[in-house]
Amino acid sequence: MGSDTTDAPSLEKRLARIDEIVKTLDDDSVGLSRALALYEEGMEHVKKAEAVLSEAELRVTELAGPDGSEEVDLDLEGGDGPDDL
Amino acid sequence: MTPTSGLPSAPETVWTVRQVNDAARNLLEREAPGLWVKGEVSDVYRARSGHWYFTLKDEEAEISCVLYRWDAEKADGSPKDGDGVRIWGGLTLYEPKGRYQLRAKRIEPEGADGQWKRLFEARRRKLEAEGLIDPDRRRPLPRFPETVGVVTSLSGAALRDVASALRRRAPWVRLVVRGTRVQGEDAAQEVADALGAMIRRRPDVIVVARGGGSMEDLWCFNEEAVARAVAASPVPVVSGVGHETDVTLCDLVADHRAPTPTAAAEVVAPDRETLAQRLDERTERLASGLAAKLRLARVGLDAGRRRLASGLVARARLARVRLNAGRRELVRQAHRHAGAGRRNWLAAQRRMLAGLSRRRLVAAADRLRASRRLLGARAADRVGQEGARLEDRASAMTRAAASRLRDRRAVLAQAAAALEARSPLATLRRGFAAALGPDGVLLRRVGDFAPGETFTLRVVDGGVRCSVLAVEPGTLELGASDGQRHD
Repeated sequence: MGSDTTDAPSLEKRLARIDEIVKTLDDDSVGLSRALALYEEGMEHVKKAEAVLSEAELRVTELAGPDGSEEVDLDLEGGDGPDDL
Repeated sequence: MTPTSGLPSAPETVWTVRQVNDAARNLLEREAPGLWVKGEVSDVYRARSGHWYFTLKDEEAEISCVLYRWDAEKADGSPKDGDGVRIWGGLTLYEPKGRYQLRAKRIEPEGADGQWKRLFEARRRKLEAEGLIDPDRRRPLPRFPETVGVVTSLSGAALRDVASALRRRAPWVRLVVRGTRVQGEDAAQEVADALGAMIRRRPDVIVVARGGGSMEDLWCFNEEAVARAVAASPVPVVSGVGHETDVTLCDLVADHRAPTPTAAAEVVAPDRETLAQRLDERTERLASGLAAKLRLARVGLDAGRRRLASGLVARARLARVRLNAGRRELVRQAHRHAGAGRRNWLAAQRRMLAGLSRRRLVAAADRLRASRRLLGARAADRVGQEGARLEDRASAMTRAAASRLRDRRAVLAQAAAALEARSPLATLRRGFAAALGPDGVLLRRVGDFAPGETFTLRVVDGGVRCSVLAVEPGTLELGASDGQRHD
């Protein structure tokens, strides 16, 4: 379970952080060296977020086992039989 | 007939059973000659006589019904098991059995889903009373989920619809599925359990989905087990059950109701193009924010640099003025020491002094230039620091320059004293003489003399005209050519 729990911040957190940085940069009281550091951090988040967006393959897994604690890859492309549910 | 109440006494009138039933029948038929009753039909039995016998029931009770053949002919339909119906009829009693029943004269369908609808309404009211349908309970969905959980049938169209919508719009999303039956006996509990398993996996958002079907097909999403599990989920839930016209209890308690499974996937997945544009826009705002800061810092730096430069120029000017004054003072002193007839020597002396002061001036200017370069370099290092700090530095450096100038003036004074001590007059006073050529040039070496030429020997109180007899290179016993013996 949770085979790919990464430490990287989620896309949502990155976008929120970028917005926060943009707002801070607009603040007159922020000095140049801090502004530089913020800019670099912001661009790093942008780059990572763009990398996420360029992901092309949807990954589908199934929570299997009696209590759903096993996670196995699921292939939806293989045409299932017609089923109306 | 006067049935007595109170303690039983000796029987005066004793009823037969038949009499009692007869009386009850009269009572019923008088009190309830015609009324509408709604319920669900069950246990239908048609006798060979053509009469219909069945039971009408709702959740709480049931009543026996009869539809006589002659009534059935104009009753708008015959009873069928499971039908939700409205019956017009009167109450009566079948005396031989003492069984009270409804004699149906007209049967109207309650609508195919009448029973379901009533049940739905009853449950909706119950959940509403508990506050579970309150719109204020609905939480906002995460705007950019990374993991989307789906609770649905593994073999259903709903899962394929959700997956293809996500693949189209947000393929970076991770789709996690917990399969469950979504129809039939016990399906409701299975859906609730699947939701529980999905909640333990903690996706960012959960979609409960099922393709379209009849009200009965979708019924498990109207069961309280499902509705309560959805309402209790700590993870936001989107309900995408059935078609647009179907509303289930699951829809009502979910954080968001989507008309179809595809619509549910669309509502949880942000559009890739929108996101990309948003990132572009943020990139520009980051860059312009930084550029504004750089402009601001450059303005402050330029102002600081200008202040530094103008301060240095003023100090240099002041130093030059003071050095010039010092030189003039030295010359004046030399004048005072020199007699009127010592012009030639004085001229040489002045040149010497002039050379000395110029050297000092040049050295001072060099040092100032070096200071300025140093200051410039330091100022360059300070890019990005506040103007106030620059100003502090500038004034500190100005103070340092001023103190260096003060030191230099002390050195100058010492030099003047040393000059004084080395004045040729003092030497002459000690008995030494200096040879001066016709143009007043100091004759220092053998090579400066030529046999037959005349020169002036300057002694302490005047000059002696001499002529050169012979020139003898080499050091004399008593010679004074080596300066260090005098000093």
